[in-house]
Amino acid sequence: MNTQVEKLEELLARVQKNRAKPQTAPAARPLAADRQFARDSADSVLERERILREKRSEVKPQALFDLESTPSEAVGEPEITQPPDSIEEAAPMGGPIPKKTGTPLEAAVENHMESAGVATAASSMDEIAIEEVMNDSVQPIALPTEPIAKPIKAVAEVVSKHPSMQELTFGVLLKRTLSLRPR
Amino acid sequence: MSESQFDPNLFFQFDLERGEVRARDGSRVLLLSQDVLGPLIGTAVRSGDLTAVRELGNQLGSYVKGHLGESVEDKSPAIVLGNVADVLALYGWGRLRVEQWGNALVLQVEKLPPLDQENLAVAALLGGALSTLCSREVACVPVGSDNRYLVVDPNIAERVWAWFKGGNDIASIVSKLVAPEGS
Repeated sequence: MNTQVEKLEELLARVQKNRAKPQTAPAARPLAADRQFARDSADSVLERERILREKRSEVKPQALFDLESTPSEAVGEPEITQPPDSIEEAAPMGGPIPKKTGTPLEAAVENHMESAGVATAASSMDEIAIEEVMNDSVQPIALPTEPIAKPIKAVAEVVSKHPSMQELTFGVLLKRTLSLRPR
Repeated sequence: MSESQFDPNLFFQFDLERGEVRARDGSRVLLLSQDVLGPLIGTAVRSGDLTAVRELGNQLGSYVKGHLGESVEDKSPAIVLGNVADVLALYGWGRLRVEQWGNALVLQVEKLPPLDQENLAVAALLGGALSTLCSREVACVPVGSDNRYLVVDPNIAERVWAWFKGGNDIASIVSKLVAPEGS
């Protein structure tokens, strides 16, 4: 069991590492690790799920694909006819396992698990990823702005002053206003 | 009280035996509540004939002119318009304030009784008062919802009124007016 835990932690670390890599790197083969697990017996898969459930409290899952896209489009997975030779080729977990691919042994294991009513490790990872997407609601981010500048001078300037009221008679005032005409 | 200030003392005489109220110049006065006067003015506005209200303005102007003498236009605006304000207040038509917007003279009446919605009655009253004061026709045009009236030549009153009805505020209206050169 410890070996599987270590393997799982190693995979998670690799997921984090691969996520940091640029997209030009081959993003394919996301299912290699799952297939590696799938090669194990159904009991080992159940054990892995139990470990995953324990790990969920420690490791926060992240969605790796668009729920509305097809799985192959979401992860950019090319067709794989042969499983990867080693676990070093494993890509991020969470992608679904396409059926009818892989070796006859893998298909046999999957059929056996389905007939036993046991969810595959990949489908379990799907649930984790979906849960992450559902819970990850969009939150607003406040953009920082410059503080309001304090004026060092008057913010307004009088460019046209009223006519002087000194020595102004009512007659002059009235004449001015009555002489106004439209421009 | 200085000599130039309007004297309101004993302006009205109530002869209860005869059932008459008379102003200082001997003209008979009827006391009306605003609830009675309002519909009458509303009818006058709808019929487009505010002659009666303008005649009241003429009477108020004559009171001021009778107090200040014929040389009203040679006196300071504060004295002349202060007298007009006092007479208006004495008749219960609100408190007159005076503003100068560039060359334009603007009257504002605070505590105006609610008579007609567009305040055309008060505009006619003010126009009548100023016309009598300066012995020439003067128009006061409502130019704001805050009971402001622009004092203009009657020849451009319709244009100013159309600007205001078109949504122009007082600053915009004044900016559309220009004094002829040399005035």
